[in-house]
Amino acid sequence: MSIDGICGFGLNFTADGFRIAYGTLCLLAFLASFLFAPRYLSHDGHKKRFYIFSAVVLIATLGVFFAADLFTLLIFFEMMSLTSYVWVAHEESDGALRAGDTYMAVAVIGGLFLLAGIVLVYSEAGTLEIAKIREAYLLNPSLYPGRKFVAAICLLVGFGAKAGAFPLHVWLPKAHPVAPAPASALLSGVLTKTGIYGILVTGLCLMPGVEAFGLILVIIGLITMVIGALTAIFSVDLKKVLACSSVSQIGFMVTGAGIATLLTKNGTLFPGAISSLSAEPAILGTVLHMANHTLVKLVVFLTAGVVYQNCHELNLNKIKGFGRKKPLLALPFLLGGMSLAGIPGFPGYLSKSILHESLLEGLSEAGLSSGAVALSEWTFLISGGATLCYMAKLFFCLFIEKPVAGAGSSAEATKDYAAVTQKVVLLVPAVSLITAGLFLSVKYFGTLYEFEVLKGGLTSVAIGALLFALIMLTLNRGGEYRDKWPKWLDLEEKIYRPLLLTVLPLTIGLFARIMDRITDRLALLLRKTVFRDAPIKPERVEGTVFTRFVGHGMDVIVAKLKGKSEVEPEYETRLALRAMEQKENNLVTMRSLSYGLMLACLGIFVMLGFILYLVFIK
Amino acid sequence: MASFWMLVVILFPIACGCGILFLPEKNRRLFLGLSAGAVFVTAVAAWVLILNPPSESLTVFKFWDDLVIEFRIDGLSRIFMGLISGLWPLSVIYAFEYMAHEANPGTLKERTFFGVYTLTYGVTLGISMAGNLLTMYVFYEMLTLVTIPLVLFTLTRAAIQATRTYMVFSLGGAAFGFISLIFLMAYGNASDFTLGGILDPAALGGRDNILRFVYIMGFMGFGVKAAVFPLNSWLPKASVAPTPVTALLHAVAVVKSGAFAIIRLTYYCYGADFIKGTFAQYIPMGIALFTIIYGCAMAMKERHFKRRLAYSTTSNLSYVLFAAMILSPLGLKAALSFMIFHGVMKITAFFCAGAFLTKGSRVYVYELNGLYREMPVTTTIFTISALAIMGLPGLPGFAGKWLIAGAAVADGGLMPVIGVGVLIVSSMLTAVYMLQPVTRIYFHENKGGLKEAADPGICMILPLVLLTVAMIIFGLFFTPLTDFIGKVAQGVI
Repeated sequence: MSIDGICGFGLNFTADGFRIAYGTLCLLAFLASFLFAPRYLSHDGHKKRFYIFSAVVLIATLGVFFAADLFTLLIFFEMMSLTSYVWVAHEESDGALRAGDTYMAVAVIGGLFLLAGIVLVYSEAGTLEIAKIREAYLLNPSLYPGRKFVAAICLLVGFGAKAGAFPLHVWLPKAHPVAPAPASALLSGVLTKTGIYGILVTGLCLMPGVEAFGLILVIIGLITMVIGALTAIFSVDLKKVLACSSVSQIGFMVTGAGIATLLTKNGTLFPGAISSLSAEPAILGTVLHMANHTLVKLVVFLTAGVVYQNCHELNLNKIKGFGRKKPLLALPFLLGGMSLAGIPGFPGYLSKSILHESLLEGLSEAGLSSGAVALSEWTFLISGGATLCYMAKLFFCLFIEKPVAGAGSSAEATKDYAAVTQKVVLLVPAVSLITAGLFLSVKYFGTLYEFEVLKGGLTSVAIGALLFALIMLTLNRGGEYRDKWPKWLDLEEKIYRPLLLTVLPLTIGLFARIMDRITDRLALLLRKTVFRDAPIKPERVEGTVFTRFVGHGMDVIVAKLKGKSEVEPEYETRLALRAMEQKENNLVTMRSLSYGLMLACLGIFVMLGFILYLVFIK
Repeated sequence: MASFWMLVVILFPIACGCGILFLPEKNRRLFLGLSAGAVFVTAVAAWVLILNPPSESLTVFKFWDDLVIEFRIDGLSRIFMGLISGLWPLSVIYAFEYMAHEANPGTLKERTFFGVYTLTYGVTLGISMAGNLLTMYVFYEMLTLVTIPLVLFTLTRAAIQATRTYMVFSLGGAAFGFISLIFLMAYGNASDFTLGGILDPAALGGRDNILRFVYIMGFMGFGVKAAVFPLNSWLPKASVAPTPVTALLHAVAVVKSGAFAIIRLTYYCYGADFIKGTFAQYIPMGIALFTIIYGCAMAMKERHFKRRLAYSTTSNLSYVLFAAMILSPLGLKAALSFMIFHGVMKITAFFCAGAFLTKGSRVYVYELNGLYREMPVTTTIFTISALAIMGLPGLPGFAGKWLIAGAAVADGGLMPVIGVGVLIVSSMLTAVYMLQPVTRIYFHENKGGLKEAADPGICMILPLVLLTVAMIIFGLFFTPLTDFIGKVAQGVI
């Protein structure tokens, strides 16, 4: 489908296997959020704004997924980035506005890199249609071989910023906790996936089989998953843990996209990738993990929303034990957490196992040494274990621990802690998760539950259990949750903000200020040197040379006549006064109109005389 | 249309403007009516001329041989005429309400303003229709002189200083332009503007590099009005003038005349091929790129709202110059398209700034907190214009930047590609300095202590609404316009 003429290129849409599947999922996630929101926002002053902008974000997100060309994708991507700012800044508190600034900055920077990448692709390939880019590049062997790579890196930065990949993940842990829960669920569950989708498109359509690009993605993915996992383990804010967990899971997906890039030779992401295993397994694993993460994050963020609408608090130490005796809250959270942690039988296990196997295959095919492969594998497994660890921590805290006296106990007593629709909205995705997991497990039991495959998953689970035991015995000893993550270890606070807000403005500002003045100063310099005003000679006010000379002479004569020895400047003064009077009179005369006319007349007379002389005498 | 109509559309607003200035008439309604009537009639006549351009040129006055004052309408003239003839009537309507705030209604001061404002329209039309460099130069100088009273308008110390800077820079720049004019007379073989240049290779006799050096002088000379670094400091200072002046003249008419003159000089006098690939291309392009970043950086630092917009204009004008200096038909197309789009976007933003200033006394960016509650219509329009200037897809700024980036990448040279990077960085900075007021308007709380504000009346809202509609139409359906400009750039029209 296409709408011609809009923005020059027209908007083009297409629908195929992946797009329909993810579009539907996205629609359902938004629906769930919309159903959840009324109770959550019942005391909120900006309800209308929230709904209007959420609807726009929905349209924009669907536009991104269904876009047939990169231009359409860019238009909807920008629309999505800017409108979702309203979610982050929703509360209008200082923290929300600050997080909003971060979000906006990352979105804008990412959007511009995207634009740069798209311009480069268009200039080289001559088309922006996603399905044709690969062929177009094959048909016109590039004159500038580096450019395709630069374009891919630009696209990666753009999409990676939205996905939350290292080092542009900083907005996620800031933005999710301050946004309203229905919005955080969508930010984390759906919006970040547009970034992953874009990275997949970049890898598969632009750079299929390019080792360097694939490895960059894998490295970024591994770093992202470790950073996310570590911060999630240490955080004591419910939504922040979930946000960091998102970062970590995004790392898995980016890694998957990297392996898919490494292994793919023919880039057939879209048709039928979901329905069969015939597509490249790495792609399948990534897409499955995306879908799994969308559903899980929907469930757990909305659970956090239920907690917040009752306790108005997200700190684990204050809300602990909130979920006791609330099975309808505990069950969805448990199912979601288990799926995210990769317990066998859940979709999370399937996706992580596929990714794990592909990782080994991809890296060894890329010719990496066995040490590097093992390092990557263990990073992958430990991060997977960490997922189990922090999800178990949350579950333990919310549903098993005894509430502290005070706020928690009253919360526990609340009977009407959530609306019926909210409970349904929590339960449906959670149940569909386990159903899908079991269905897929049965269908692919032969391949995905072999001992070799199962071993990886179980190792990860075992690591997770150990980690959990470790942090509960050390960090969170005695039922108190401590945030020991060093505060100074913050990319945004330590590097980005100082760089963008202090260093750059200072240097540019200083430079600009100097440059700003330079022309003025030059003009001033010229004015003071070459073009300065002629100096005004100091004048003697009294009289002229003539009056002084004559007057003084007369005074001397008078003194001689009177026989006085002393000369009194009587005539000199009088003459000087006369001269000044005369001068003033002259001035008045010369300024007057009649004087001008007289002079004009005189001129005319002279002219007349001259003409008469010419005519009659000569 | 007969060619004498060209002279009529130039002289009619000049005559009416002089009439407003010198007639001993005290009635405010009468001179407002006269001013609006003159501008509207001229605009209609100008549009008729744009749509049916006379084929032959009109020689008004002959100094000597080739040295003539001559008017002719070609494709480029039609584009520039269209831009100013579309915006001038809107600005006059806006000024009706605005000036009642700025000067006591009916005073000599207000009369001077409307007189000169009307007069300037004729002079600017003269620049657009000039058929040769001499004619353009004459009208260009006239534009400097007639706009002095407008900058000086408030008669404050700041205004006097701004005027002085403006005069020194403009007249000094014109001297450099004059040098270029003389050399072109000496080495050109025709006096009329011709796409591809008028230089006579036989007359040059190996003095190519001197001519290129003189071209750079001309670029800088005419660049004063286009606010290229380092001759830009008059523009932010001049934002002391009343908003109709800063909006129309310092975002569109005067500054775009500078860009227009540079395009005339580059493509129609020296010729793109003569300059392309030499230092005469790289130095001006480097200056333009520097100005882009410099303008953005200064705008980011600036807290005075109108001055911030003025710095933004500095930066955006250099987009036009950068695109023009790519020296290809695509580059020219991008430059002219961005010129038009920027005109529409920036005048809207300035009009909004004027409304904030008069209807709420909001001068600085930090005073805009929570303004959307009090001025919902104006702030919405401002948001749209800010997003457009930022380059949000679906609005004209994006279309312009897309064309520029496309032209630069298609050229493939090192410097244009660096230019794309500069464009990206500058877009980022633009986002910072334009979104800052927007977020303040919507998400920050008004802590009190500010005057009450309200949306302005119909005379100010109507132009704003029309401009917004124009912006959205340009943003969504820019292809017919850019196709027309593309044909002009290739010399088909």
